[in-house]
Amino acid sequence: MIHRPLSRRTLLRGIGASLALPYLEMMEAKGATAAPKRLCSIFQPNGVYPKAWDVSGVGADFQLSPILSPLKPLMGDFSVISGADNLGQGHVQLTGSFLTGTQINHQINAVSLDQQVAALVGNRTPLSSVVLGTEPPRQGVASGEPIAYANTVSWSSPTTRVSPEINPQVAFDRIFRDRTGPAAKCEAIRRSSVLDLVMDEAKSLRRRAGSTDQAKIDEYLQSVREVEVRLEKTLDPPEPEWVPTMPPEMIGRPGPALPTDRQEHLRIMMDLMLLAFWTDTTRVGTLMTAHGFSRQNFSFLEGVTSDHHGMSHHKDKEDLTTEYTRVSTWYMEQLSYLLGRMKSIREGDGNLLDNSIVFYGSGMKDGNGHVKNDLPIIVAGHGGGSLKQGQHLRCAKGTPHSNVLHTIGRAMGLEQETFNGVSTGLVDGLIV
Amino acid sequence: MWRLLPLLLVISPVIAEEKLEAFFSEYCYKCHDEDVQKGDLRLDLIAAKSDPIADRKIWLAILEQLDTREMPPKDPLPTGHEYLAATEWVEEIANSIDWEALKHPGHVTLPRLTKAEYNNTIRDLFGLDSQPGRTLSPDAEGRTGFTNDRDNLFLTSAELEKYIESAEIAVEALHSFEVEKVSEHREAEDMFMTEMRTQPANFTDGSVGHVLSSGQKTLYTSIEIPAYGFYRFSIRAGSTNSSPATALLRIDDSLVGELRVRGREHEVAWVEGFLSPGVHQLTLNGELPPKVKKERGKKATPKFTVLRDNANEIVGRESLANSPQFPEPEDAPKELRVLVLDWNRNEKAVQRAYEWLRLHGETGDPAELRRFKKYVIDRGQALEEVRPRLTKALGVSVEEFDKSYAKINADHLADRKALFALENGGEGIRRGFPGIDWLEIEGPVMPQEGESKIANEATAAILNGENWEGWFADFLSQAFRMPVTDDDVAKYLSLYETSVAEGAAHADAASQTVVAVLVSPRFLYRSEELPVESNRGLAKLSDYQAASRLSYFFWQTCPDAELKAAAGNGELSDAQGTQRQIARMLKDEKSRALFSTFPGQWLGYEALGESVIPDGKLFPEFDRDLSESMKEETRMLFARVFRENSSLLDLVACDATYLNQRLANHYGISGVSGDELQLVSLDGDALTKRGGLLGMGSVLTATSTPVRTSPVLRGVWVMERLLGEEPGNPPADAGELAGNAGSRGKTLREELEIHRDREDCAGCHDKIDPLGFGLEEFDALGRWRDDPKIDTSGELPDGTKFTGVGDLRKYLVEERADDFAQVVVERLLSFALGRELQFFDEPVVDGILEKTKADGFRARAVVEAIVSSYPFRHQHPSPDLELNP
Repeated sequence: MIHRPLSRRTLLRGIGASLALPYLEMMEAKGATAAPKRLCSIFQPNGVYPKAWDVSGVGADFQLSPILSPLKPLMGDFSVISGADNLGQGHVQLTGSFLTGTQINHQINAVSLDQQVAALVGNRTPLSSVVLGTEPPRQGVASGEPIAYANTVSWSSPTTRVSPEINPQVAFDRIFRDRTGPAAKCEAIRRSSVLDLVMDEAKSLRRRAGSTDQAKIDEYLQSVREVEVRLEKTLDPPEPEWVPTMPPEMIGRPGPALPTDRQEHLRIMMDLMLLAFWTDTTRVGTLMTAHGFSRQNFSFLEGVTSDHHGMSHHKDKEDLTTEYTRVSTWYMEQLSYLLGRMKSIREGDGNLLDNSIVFYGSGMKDGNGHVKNDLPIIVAGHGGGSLKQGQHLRCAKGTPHSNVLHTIGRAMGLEQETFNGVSTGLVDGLIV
Repeated sequence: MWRLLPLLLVISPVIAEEKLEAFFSEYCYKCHDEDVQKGDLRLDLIAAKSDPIADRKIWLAILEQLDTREMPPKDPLPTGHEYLAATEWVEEIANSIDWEALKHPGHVTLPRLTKAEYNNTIRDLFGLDSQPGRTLSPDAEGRTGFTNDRDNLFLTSAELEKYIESAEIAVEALHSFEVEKVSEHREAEDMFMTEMRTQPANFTDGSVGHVLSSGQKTLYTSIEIPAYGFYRFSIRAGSTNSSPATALLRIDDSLVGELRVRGREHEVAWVEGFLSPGVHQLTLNGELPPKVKKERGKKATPKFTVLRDNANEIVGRESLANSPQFPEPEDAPKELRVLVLDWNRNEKAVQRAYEWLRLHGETGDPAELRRFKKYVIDRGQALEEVRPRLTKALGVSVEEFDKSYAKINADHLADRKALFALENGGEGIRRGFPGIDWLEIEGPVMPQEGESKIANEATAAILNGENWEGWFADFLSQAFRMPVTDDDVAKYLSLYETSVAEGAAHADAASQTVVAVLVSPRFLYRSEELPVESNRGLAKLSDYQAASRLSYFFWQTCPDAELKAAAGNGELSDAQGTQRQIARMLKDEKSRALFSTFPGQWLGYEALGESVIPDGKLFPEFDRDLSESMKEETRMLFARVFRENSSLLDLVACDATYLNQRLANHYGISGVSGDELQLVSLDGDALTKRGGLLGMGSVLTATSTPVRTSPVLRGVWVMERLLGEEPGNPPADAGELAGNAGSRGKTLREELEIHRDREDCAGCHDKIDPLGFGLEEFDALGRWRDDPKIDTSGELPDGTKFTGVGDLRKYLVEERADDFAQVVVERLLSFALGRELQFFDEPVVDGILEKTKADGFRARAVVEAIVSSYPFRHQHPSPDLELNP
């Protein structure tokens, strides 16, 4: 009898109870391959108060600033990058460019870093990427672009925005559904023949349509093809490339409603992201901590009376900059939570954070004045040994932030001359 | 988007251009040329280009500036004659467009169904409102500001997967007709109570149950649900005191509903929720009364008036002094004297209740206010008994008695009237705890009559194979919103046949085939295929296509049988026939979709209570009930204006509104009871404060920050949403007021004044702020605040002065009626087409306004004009403008 390691999905199937899975030695893959590299991009809205963000000192010898103080326990696992400039203006454009490096112009952007990496490595995991958020789209128009566009930083084509999933239950179901059991196989067979038929229908509709409508139908066809690839995987599951060293600690299936507690909501999304990486359900995760034009009320923090966007236009008044700094520090506390959890998950000889790149930042430096230069950026994790951490890297004046995207893309395996045609080089000293 | 600039279509007004150039360089270029560009405007380039189409907005803005003489702002100023001449030249340029040659319906991108359209359409296809698309991502609003913006409805593979799952759920939900219904009754005392030491309680009506008097106390049970569907959860409960109590029902640990009972008396309250098959856990908790607001460092202060210890003494003393009395007649017979004494004693007893009301005052606990008002009425009964005997003994009629009594006691009676009118604006924070007698679960809940025929046929065909092929052909044409060919039907049925041949049971094969229809691009996209003979160029829509547009415009769902028939028999090609359908469709309850979505998105309050929520610590009164009532008020006003074909201006100024008890209390209007919103006429003070959009909680709350009012947001809202003016973008370093602005020693107005010290701010804020301050007497939840310190006066740059909401409303309907009507027409047309309006839509909008103005812009007439307009009935395949042949 051939002894095969149990697929972890066999264990995860039908999870609904909040139970840690029993640790099974059988799950230890024999002669496991190296742990996969993950990319986690995290967007934070409304910028930061520069005086409370900026760190002193350059290179390995730098001092944390007040906002960054929650990251203290993780010194050596992250770097601060300063001096990288965004392009565009206002919340919508400065959010849209965060992962694309290019400016939204009349609803056209470019493919974002996470989706470029997903296109490269996404076929190795059940989900090519997981995009999560906490706020629904907001209405209105700013500087000629719909504010709703600032709902996401993830673009799978120059015109297709990937809406973040904000409902924890829907996200949970999508990440942890049964994909290989008999029921899933039956379902896949049934769905495949449905897709064959509608694919055919779409093609004939396309022949009769005008050019712009053809583009819409192409979007449909592309989606059908991607779903088909996933169904293929169910019918003929590839041998898992990676089996977790530590058994995943499952969380219970969240309720259908959105949590009203802001911190609880963000943390449950972080926990889901973590589990998606841990179980190798995806290697690309993107998290909108809030909408790019977020007016979230932070009065649950002591001493805070304004909404986030309101306080970001602080005009250097002390009461507002204090609130603004408090909120930015809260965001760092959340980042610290996620990084800490990633670090606690053992993978081979290292941990999940060692094998990941976490790119964290905002599309603007200071909300007051929508300052787009010298973005606040943190790059954490060792990227499977590809990144040198524990430093403050100051970019030369005029460096576009697409250079940072380009560098991370390179570390994730994207072989390209430039990033979306706008980067001017790599960030010195980040890649080992 | 419009790339080709049709300069050829402009009749070049050369002479005007030259003269205007001279005028501009004399008066305008010093602020708007190469060197200085105030407001980002380079007039020299605009004048040199002289393109009335590409720079349409700017030319129209110039015209307005000249018209109002707002520009230039300071010396040297043009003479009156120069102004007139310049206006003429600009008009000549602006009107030099050959609209007839430019006539174009615009291209509308192939639209995917919105989330709401998807759910509604499936509801009408199966006659069952199963909301199968609950997990679809919400659609964002596009550049039109509406979620039905066709350019904004995209698709990703994650969403497509959800569409497949949703379709499967929609079909599975049909099983709810077949399964044995659930009907479970659980006595509270038999359910699991988490607090082991809590004993069942005996209620006054003899029933037994549990009082959920702390957040920890949880009643728990579980239930097996047989099929997808809506289930009704009822509780029989009473409150532990005379205030309302709320039980929270959670299913699988997520809140599905609040069950509210009004007072001590037990009653049955219910909620409905959609459930999937399987075992579900149900829990009931008492809703904790909100905590009293507490400022740090201070002792908690109760929200309501606290009576002094000697209150009873005060009431006794004052009731003697303030009670109306009948003067004792001299030398009267004993019998009469006894009656008078009896009368006066009873009046004093009644007066005691009034004195308690006085002590509690308008900040009194609403429950206490209610209690003493009830005493007033109860004790008054005794007077009613004495009165006939007294009048008989006096030898006068009851009317005569009342008249002279009112005269003698005029002051006291007026005082009583005022005391009885006391209301605490809020619903009140005092609440009781729910005492639960039992819980019942029933379902799946069956659809309404009328829907059930559709549902029965669908179920019979899909699950049992009755008339399967015949039903399917009809279903396909209904789903695709157009007649289908035999080939179309055969294509889908081949999937069914293959499955059956492979051994699938009928129900499984049929379900799979129906799922394929619901995932088909011809269902998910509202295809408006152009006829072959149009050579895929400009074409008039077929009546079926027009019916589909009409149906999604009003109902956000597919055409019903009658509308489909109207498309088939040519009724929609006929003006009267179209009007008939419009009137019918607006009356139909399905038009609720239009009246919720359109105003909610146009006026920006749709997310209220969902993602826009006032600060819970500052505004504990705000809850879902209140926000739903607010939104419902606006929705019902829109419905009335459109259904009754009233003037669009009634939306702004109206002498009635829709209120329920909760909202009426919130507004400080008395005499409305019950949860259902009802039409309430407004007069006097209430008419000034409410009546029309400006006094509605929905918009007033949505235009506040979570923590306070914002005159700027409200001013921008009036300008942008009601008057169609662009308020301009603030400079990025403009700054924003702190959340606690207005409570730091300066008024909000004073803080804003300082804020406006910059000239480049003042330019816009001089227009924005006065409008916003006009609404400043409404607090951040739209409640009226009687605070004499609030200054609501304002003066617009054109010299219009007003104070408060009454004047602002008057200004809008008297001075700005045409502008408001234009905004409504533009927004409605854009919503109906699902695209942004373009310059070539200008004559369409103008035409609708001209046609409806004489009759006062009647709402249905406006809608009729939109539905018969050129862009509504035509389609063009290309987004690039081409010259018409």
